[in-house]
Amino acid sequence: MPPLIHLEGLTKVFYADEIETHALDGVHLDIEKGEYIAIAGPSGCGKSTLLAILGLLHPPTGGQYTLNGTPVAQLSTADRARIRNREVGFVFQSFNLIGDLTVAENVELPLTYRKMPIAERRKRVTESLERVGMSHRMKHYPGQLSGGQQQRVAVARAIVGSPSIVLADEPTGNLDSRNGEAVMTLMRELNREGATICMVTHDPRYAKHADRTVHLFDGRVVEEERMPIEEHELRESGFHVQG
Amino acid sequence: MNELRHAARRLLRARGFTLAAIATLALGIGATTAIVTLANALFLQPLPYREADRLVHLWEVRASKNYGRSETSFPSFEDWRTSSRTVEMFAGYGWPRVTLRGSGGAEQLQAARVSDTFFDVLGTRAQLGRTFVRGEDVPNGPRVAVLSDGLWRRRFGSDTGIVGRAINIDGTAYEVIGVLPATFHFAPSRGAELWIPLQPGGSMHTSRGMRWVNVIARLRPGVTPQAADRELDTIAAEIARTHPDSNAGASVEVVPLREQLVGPVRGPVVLLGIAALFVLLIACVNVASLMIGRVAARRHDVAVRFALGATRASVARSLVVEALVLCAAGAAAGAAVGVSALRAMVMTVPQDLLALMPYLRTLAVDSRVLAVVCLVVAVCAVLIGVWPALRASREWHLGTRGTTAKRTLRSVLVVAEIALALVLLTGAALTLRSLAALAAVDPGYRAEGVFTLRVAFPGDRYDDEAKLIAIHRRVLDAIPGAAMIDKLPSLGGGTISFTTAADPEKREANIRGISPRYFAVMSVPLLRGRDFEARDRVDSPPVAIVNRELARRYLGTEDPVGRVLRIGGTELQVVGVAGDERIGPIDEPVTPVLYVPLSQNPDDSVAIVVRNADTAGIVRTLQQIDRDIAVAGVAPMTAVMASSPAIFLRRATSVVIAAFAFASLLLALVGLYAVIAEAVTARTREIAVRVSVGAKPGAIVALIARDGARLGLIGVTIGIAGALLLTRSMESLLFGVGVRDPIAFGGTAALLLLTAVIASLIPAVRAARIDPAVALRQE
Repeated sequence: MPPLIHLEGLTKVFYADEIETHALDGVHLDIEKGEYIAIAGPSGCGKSTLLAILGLLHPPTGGQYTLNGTPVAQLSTADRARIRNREVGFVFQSFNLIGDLTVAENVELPLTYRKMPIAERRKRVTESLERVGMSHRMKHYPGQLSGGQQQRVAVARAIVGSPSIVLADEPTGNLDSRNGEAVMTLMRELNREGATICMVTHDPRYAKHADRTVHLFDGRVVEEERMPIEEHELRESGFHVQG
Repeated sequence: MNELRHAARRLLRARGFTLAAIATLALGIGATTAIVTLANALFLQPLPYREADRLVHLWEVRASKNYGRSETSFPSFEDWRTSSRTVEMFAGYGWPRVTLRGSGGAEQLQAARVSDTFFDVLGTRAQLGRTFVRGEDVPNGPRVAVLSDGLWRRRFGSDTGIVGRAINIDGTAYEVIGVLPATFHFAPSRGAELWIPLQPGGSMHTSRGMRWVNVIARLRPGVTPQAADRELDTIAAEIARTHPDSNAGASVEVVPLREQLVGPVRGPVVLLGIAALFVLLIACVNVASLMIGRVAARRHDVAVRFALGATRASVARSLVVEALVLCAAGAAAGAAVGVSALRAMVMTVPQDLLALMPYLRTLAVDSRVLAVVCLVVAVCAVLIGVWPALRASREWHLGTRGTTAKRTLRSVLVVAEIALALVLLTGAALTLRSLAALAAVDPGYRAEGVFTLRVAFPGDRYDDEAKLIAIHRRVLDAIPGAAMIDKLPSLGGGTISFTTAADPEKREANIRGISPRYFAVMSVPLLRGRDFEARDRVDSPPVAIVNRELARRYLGTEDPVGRVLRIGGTELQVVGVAGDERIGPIDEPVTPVLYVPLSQNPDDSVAIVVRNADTAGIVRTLQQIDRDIAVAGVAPMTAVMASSPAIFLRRATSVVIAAFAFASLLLALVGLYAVIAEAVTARTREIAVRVSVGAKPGAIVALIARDGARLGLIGVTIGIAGALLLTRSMESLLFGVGVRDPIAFGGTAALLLLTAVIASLIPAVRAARIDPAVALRQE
């Protein structure tokens, strides 16, 4: 079965004032359907750039990117937007909920760009918010929620459209440890239910929640590590594992 | 002083903002200053007469004949003079054109024939010599003349020995008895440069049917125009009782002299004043919006001040001083430009019209204008400084961000701008549509390609009918394709009463003396009968041509050709029917017109009309025929029409309002752009989120443009309501278009909505280009 995401020799070069910055320098990576992968590495290693390319926010400069069997490296902005809407869900470090919209409206946002009937949208929004335990806050505004609650809503928004993959960019970065763990648990649960998750993090504690961790350095994959089966199972059972 | 220096320094640092604010304020203050200067000249500057508030102009009104205001007859004037107790002194005047001859050649001049009391009524004394004394205005009285200061300087080189010298007026020697002061003008006499006694002779002196005397009067102290009006109405009723044939239904209308002078332009000036006020308001709203943005940008700076112990008042004061500096700079730039623009506009006013509005020659920025400008500056400073300053200082002091509130406030200001702009644009659209309707009016002749020359034949050389007829014929023979008329169409005037055999009631019509070929030159169709011909001589039976309107109104269904019209004791046989040429102002209905041949009714002052001709060559030809023939007013017929008050005032008003409206549209565009651009900046993260969840670029552009359109729609809705209220006052200024004209309203609303969308598009496109990956990572 082909991988959900296949990257081959992916490069990304930024040009500023005649200076070339090679953010990604030949990345090869496969992500299987239903996999939970963490991308780790120091600041400036290219994690966020890779996530932006995976989420079709940026086109790569070179290489191949196949998503769900479709080559997406050379698509137009509008086509990238269309595929992003259906195939990708984002969770950001700073939640990025829209302050003027209610919780339900925030979650509904991706569906509004699909021309989906209102009844179907409402149903999906309710299910999604129930899934993250936030359906009782549907009418609230983001400003009325705690950070942890806001990130749950952001997760609901990411999964409402049933995307092929959820991309999470430091999803615990703005949360205290208790809320951070809660979000990690939520992500794990989503993955267990079949969601493919790709998470960028620089915190090894959270990277260990993933099945596999890919280490980037200077725009290249320098190491891959799979979590040992035992540790993984312990975590799945809700035990805290030291180290 | 320190505050002032700091404010100036801050403004100098923010050059872009400062220049934009000053330019915007200059536009508003300049427009206001120009209109205030004009209004000051019209309504506030004292008239150059003694106790001018006691001066009135009198008109005879014959409402029963639906004839409106007119001059009165000399006998009625005498009756008013002898019977009135409310009037201290009456004076009569007329305004003939005369030919002044002398070493400077022959020159046609506007003159005024006045009664001997004329200058006493106005309280005017001569700067040299004297004005008229009692008894000089009687028939066959002394030939004496008073010169205007302008004529004295221009024609006689300011010669102080002019008094007592003889000058040649229409071939007769007149003794100069005085020179009027330079400040004197009397607009109703068309800017007369030469003043001679009334001295009516013949039927002008005795006939009640000949209404030619214009009357001014000085009321007794304490008498109101209304009281004089009531008394003169009683006197007019008594005259009507004793002379029903000529005066039935006549009454008197007493009009304050200032009203008589400025009445025709009051409406346009008030309209322009409102338009200027709107421009000022829009400018203030725009700068206030800019100030709010600037205030937001200074948050950090002010936070430091608060931390160092500054009070709310001191922070607010610094902003108010900044606003005052901006307003003062805007006023300095705007007032100078505004008044210069106004003076430049006055230069475009045709001389004939300028003579009717002499106050335009002396537009002055006096203490009254300066006071109003200072007031405007103070109001602007409050609008653009105090209000934002108070809000901002409160916000900062309380430590609130207030970004959304600020954006809402700026949105409210933009909506106000759009609403104001719509009112102004609708006003402009109505006046422009009015002008278009006026241009579409068929004058009954084809003015394009026709040139006109006003010609006066020296009265001493052509002092009888035969000589005048002979010189007319000689001139027409010498200028191929030319024709003559005693007074050009579109200038109105010249009425006469006539009866017919079937209808003994006196009917009124405009009368024009014309030569053969006049209708051909002017392309007026001859519908029936014939044109005047060489056989229509002074010794042949009098003939006339009537226009279609006269035939329709007064001659019934029978063929007009062959019918007989009776004017006094003279019977004229109708030999033709011409198309409806508009003799009066183009915005008035077609009037009945009676044409008589100049060959039977010669005049020493006529207009030559000729199609596609070399006018310089014609002037040379006339000089060769007789070097004392005075030629003036060489102009295309289209220019004659364009300089008529009906068209010129409307066009000038339309042009100015359209300019104001265009400026307001630009300001609204800039204001809306600024608000939308600021909103895009504030919503960068939101836009990035939308992109990250799959919004296409088109959806982002639509999202932002919709915001602009929404503000535009609210502004347009409010503006339409305002325009519906305000344009009602324009009714009297419009022609051929209603105050609720759907095209004007719909067109301006669509234009403003389009403007709103255009103003939003640039920030909207910018929004669609936001890099979501960058925006979403920013804290």
